Amino acid sequence: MTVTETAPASDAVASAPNRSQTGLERILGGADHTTLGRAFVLTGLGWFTVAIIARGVVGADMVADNGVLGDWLAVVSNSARVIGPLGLAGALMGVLYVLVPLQLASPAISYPRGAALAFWAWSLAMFIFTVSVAFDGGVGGANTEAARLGNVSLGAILASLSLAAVCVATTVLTHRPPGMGLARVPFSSWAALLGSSLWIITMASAFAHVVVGHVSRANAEGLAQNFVGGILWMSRAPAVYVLAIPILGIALDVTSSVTGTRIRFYGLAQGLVGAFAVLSIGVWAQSDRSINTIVWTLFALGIALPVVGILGLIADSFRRGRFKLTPAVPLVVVSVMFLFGSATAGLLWALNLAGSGTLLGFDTTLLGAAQVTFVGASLVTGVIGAVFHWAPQFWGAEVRSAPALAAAGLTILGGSLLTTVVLVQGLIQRNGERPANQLFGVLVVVAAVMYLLGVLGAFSAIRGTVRAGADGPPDPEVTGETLEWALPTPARGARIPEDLPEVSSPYPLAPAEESAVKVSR
Amino acid sequence: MIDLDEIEPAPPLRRRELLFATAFGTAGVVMVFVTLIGAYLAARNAAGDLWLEGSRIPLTQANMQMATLVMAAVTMQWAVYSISRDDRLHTYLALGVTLLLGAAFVNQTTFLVKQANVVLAEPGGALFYSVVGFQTAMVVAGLVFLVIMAFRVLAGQFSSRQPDGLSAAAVYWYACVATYAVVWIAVYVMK
Repeated sequence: MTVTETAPASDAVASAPNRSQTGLERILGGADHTTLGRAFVLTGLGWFTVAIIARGVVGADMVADNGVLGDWLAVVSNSARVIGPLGLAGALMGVLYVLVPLQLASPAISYPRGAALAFWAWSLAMFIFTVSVAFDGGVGGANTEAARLGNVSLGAILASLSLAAVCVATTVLTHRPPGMGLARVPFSSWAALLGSSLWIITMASAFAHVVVGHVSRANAEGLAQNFVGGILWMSRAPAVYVLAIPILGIALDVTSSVTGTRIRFYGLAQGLVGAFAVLSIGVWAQSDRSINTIVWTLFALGIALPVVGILGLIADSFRRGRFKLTPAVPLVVVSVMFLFGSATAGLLWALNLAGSGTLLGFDTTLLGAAQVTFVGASLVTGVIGAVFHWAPQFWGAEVRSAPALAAAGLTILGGSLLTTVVLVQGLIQRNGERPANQLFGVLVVVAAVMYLLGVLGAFSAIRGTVRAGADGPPDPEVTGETLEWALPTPARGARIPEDLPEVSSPYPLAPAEESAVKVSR
Repeated sequence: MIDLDEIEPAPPLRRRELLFATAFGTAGVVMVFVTLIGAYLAARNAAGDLWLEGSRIPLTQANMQMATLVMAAVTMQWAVYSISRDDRLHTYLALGVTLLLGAAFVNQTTFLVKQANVVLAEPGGALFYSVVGFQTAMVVAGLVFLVIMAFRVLAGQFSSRQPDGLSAAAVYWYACVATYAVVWIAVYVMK
């Protein structure tokens, strides 16, 4: 077997991590998808904290009327908007690294060494990008050498995330157990397949502009223009939604698991996720000319429909099933609602375009910022919700409710406040005027602090869970009928029991007669 | 001495894993190219007569390159056809010819770029080098892919029961040919 091959199920024992290795050795030298996934999640959330601190500093700068950052305002503000979403994209990829093979009962992710390469390349590139910001490069900096470093590292971030997406998408297509057709794939894996496929083409298109920026040997100003003209489209509708596609699958799976019900109309739910994916294809809308078109307007408005549909299915499950307030519940529900908020910003943008900017006069730059802020809030709540819900698989035990609920509450409050502030800014601060800028600055600082406390609280809850390990309190009410709930915890690559039930429905662990009823429904 | 009978056979590969992974990777690479050529055409339309005005791009060389890659596509399919019938001799022969044609294409590209003498700083220079350079890099990567797959054929990893490696290489190779066809028309023929 060459180093590029994936160990099949029969080779599970050989692929198991060496027990004599330390955790650090496993992370540095291993290709176990669970270890890589955990590292991806924690590192990604770490980069998000860096971005949110920068956002708080920008808010303080607004309060002090540019007395804090001075000439550094542009580079810190713009770079935070790169580090945040791409850090969260890594964290979300970590969730998929762990979850997708488990849901498919696969002992490994496709191309595990490629997956490891993607993680390490992403980590290194994120670090180099941040270093370039410190030297006035990043995005919008004035130092040409540092800006070129930022441009190249941005390309490396995009390439490594694309590589990770290739591994995840290939896993869903080729590692499914017998009987699990695509119509029976769990929602998270289904959304991972669609999301990863679109991440590949979206990030590849942005990567092309990085190439042009590098080949042209542009100076710092030219690279900033290249970013605005060639890469910024990723942070507005429709492309910005690409990052959030897996969140929909996670929300549906968590809802099904927590309520003890099955999502009604399974095929419709898959179709809604698919519709969301189709409406998030944004590589065609790169130039400003493409925005003021009927197609863009349809995309901007249409994205709300699958989101509303999925919220309806989630509400239906809560209505039919039991309601248990685990820390994951508010997080994943709000993560979908944040997507609706982003769609609202797109709706306002479309309305503004209808009057060619004269009817309402909204600040479309801020509306675009609101969209990416909403999607970022969706990502961070969705990722934390996922690692809380699947805590036994991720960390070996249930998360303790009290600290995790507090972390969830703070994260939701911080996200809600920050997104609302940016959205209202876009509505009020018209025609280049900046009324109430200091008030908005105060609110941004408050939101950033709450966000920060929420994410740090999540880290603390995870740390407590890891320490508790297998001795942590079991919660028999939180389980599921997809295959990851039948595997030993904490999850390790290659530890797949041979007596798993044959897949004959989207819920393989459901009793046979219930499965039959559900399938015939 | 190593007793070959004691060596455990390689575990079976997952069917189509490499094929799907290559398809996803190829989609990404093609998307990079599509974006580059889109930016090239948009900038050329905006620049009008100023576009590469100081350069002279001969068409003969570009035509030969197109013919070379078309032949390479045929020989690539010959390799896939042969391995799916366990005709290893013809598989080696087809892979060798494909590699030779691919190397010839890269050689012709370097010659053409020298002939064209496009200056990086002139309008369109950076985009010209981005498009042509990226497409050539695609072909070079395809050659590396083919060499690896050829070694794996030699090692007996592919056969009519498991032809995925060559099929995957073929998918990528056809994408290389298709992208060059776009370069040929958009950059060289239409200038």
